[in-house]
Amino acid sequence: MIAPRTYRHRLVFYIGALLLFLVAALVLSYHSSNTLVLKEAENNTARLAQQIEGQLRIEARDLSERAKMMRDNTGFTGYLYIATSLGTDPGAMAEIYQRQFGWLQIDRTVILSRTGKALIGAQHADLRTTLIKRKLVKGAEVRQFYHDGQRGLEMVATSPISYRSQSLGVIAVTRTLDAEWMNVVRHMSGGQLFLVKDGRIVLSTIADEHGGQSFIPSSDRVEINGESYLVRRVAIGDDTLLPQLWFALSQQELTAHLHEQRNRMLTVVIAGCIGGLIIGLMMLRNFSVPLSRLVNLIEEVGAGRLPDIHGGPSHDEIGYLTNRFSEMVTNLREQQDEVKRVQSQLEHEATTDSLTGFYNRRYLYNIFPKLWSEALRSSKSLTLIIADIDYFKMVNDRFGHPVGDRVLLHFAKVLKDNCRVSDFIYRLGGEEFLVLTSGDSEGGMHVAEKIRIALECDSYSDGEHNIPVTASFGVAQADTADGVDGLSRMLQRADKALYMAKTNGRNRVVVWYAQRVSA
Amino acid sequence: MNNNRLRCLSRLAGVWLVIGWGVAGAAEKPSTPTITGAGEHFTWVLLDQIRPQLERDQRLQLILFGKESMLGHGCNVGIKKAKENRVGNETFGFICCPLAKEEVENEGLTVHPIALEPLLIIVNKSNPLQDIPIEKVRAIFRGEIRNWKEVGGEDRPIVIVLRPHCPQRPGHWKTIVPAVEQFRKDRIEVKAEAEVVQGVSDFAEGIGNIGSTWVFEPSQNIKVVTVGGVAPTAENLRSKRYLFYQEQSIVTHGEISAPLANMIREVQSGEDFRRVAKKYELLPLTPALP
Repeated sequence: MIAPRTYRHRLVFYIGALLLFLVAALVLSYHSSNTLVLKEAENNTARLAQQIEGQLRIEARDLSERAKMMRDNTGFTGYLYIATSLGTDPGAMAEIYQRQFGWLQIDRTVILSRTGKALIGAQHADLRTTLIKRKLVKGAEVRQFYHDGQRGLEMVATSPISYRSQSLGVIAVTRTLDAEWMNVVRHMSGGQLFLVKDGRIVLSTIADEHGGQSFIPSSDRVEINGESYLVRRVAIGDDTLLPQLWFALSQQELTAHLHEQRNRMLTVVIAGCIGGLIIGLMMLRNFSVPLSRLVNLIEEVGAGRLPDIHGGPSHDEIGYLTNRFSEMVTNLREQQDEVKRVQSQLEHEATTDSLTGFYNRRYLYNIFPKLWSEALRSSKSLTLIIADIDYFKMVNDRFGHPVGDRVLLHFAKVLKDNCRVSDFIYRLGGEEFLVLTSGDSEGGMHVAEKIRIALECDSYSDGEHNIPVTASFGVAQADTADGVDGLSRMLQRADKALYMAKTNGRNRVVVWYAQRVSA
Repeated sequence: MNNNRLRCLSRLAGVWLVIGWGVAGAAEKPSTPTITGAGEHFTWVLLDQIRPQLERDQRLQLILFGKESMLGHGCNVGIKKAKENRVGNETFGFICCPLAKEEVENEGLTVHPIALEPLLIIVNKSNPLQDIPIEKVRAIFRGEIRNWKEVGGEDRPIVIVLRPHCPQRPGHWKTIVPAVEQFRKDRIEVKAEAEVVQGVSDFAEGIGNIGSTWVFEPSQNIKVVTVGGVAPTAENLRSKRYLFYQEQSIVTHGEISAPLANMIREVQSGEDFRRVAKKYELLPLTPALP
């Protein structure tokens, strides 16, 4: 599997994977839910039937406790004793029963004497008959059983009753498993209940009337009016003559619930997909795009460019990173400009004279090959004029170096004023200057003469000193035989002409011609 | 004098006023003695009806226990309460049985007789009889007569409802049958007077006895029969024509406080007591105060 390289690609990949997972989970659950739900429903049917059996056991125990409550009430048993032994009016029994136990949740109560006479509940002949048939009238134990009587299936709890160790008979209390009870259990369990006798429905919790319909389960399923039910029998006793209680879950209801759940799941998944997409787009917009922009900027900086980055007022991490990077690039740009400026200054200082601003000897040697080539290309001559201030040492000695420097500046100004724009002026050192001019030695001589005259006519004056300044000039024309590196030879010729000007009385121009010198 | 000083002084004066008022009030108001009594129901009815007058005239607070006969209140509770009497915890008891001489001496009790109370013979309202001769009443309770037709009533078995309380003491039901062993065995035996009334009300064949101070509820099927043509009245008790009765007494233990002694004297012979005694046909045992 190829892993996405960039965060943008990873983001798209992860969101896509998430959406794919959601959709796959939906499809899988959609196809498998039917089987799962039906299987789970079968388990639920068994479990709920067991819960109903547990509920019945609890109710039977409660019913027995009520019978015991009557058995243990001495006032009540005293009345019973009198009623049985004297044969009094049953009204007294009814009075005390109503006063003491009228609030109990009991459907029917029958109290029989040992002879089988009904002291309470004489109207419940069916229950009396059952008690006699089961030989409970003279029994000695608390009993529970189910009885199919006038009111249908009912739970019965019995207790022997005595007074001062004298057996009086039996108390029987009942709880009918009627439609009301079945509806309560249906509400609690969520399923349906059927009371079946001889394969026919006697009572059910289904809204439509199904009394008398056939109820023959097969493989824990039964069809009633075309509707299929998962069923499980609720054990209520071993008596095969009793009606059977069945708990049922409707398959149609289950399917409807399943569809309802599926639709809910589908809604949730679609909402999840849309949410995932929106979140992904927001992440792309808010995270990946600024990150890509930052990466591009870094690449530009890496390539040597320092782009102008406009940082915004963003408070997130990427915005903070961009702003700091912008500051860093700005600082870098300023430092780069400073380096260029210093470099330019250093270059300037290396090639010019700090006092006069003229180029120095170093620059002369650098530039001369270029000037020489240009002169050759344009078929022009180059002429060197070396100028040296006369008696300059005496100026320094007499007036001091500061005045000497100002005399040098005065001479530089005269030089500059009397040279052409195209001429190059260099300070070779001390009071020695060089003018490189295009043209032959004749032209050079005129230039030098013009300078000399101008200097002679313009003494140095600063209000305190008035010093006449003159200079001697040596002129030499470049010879094609000198070549591109013939500057030293040319300088030697010009120096010799200068020397001759000095030795001939100074304040004059001497031109070096080949094999001869002309003053 | 600035405002702050005036405010402080006024507050101080207020505090002293409140303190002074409280002290003065406490000094003026004497402490009201509390006297507690407990015992059987019949005397409780009597005492409870004159309690407001006793509290007002004797300047005491009277606390009485004995209203509910179903809660186990009886003569023994009265004796027990009397023996709790201490200085600062004045108590007394009330009983419906004349105590035996040995019991009085052994327990260090003092009996203060109040009145004789007729024992009513009650039957179910459905019973057509209005009167039963005294010997036949005794024969019924002894079990010698077991059917109402033997005394001129319907052909029904007789159901006896009995509360054989205080068997070791003389008087009360012993004025009908002198020993509990002589009563009919197959009877309904109950623990409280209320159950006697309820039992007779429940059984159409029922018969029982109850003190004349018992207040019957309208819903109960009870009626009182005369005995040998004699009604259960104070006058008939005085003339000894009506022979079934019990004796109401107050019982105390050791030295008793003046308020308690005054209260007992007022109960025995006061005007309010006479009024209540007349209402319930009680025969006072102490002459009235002049």
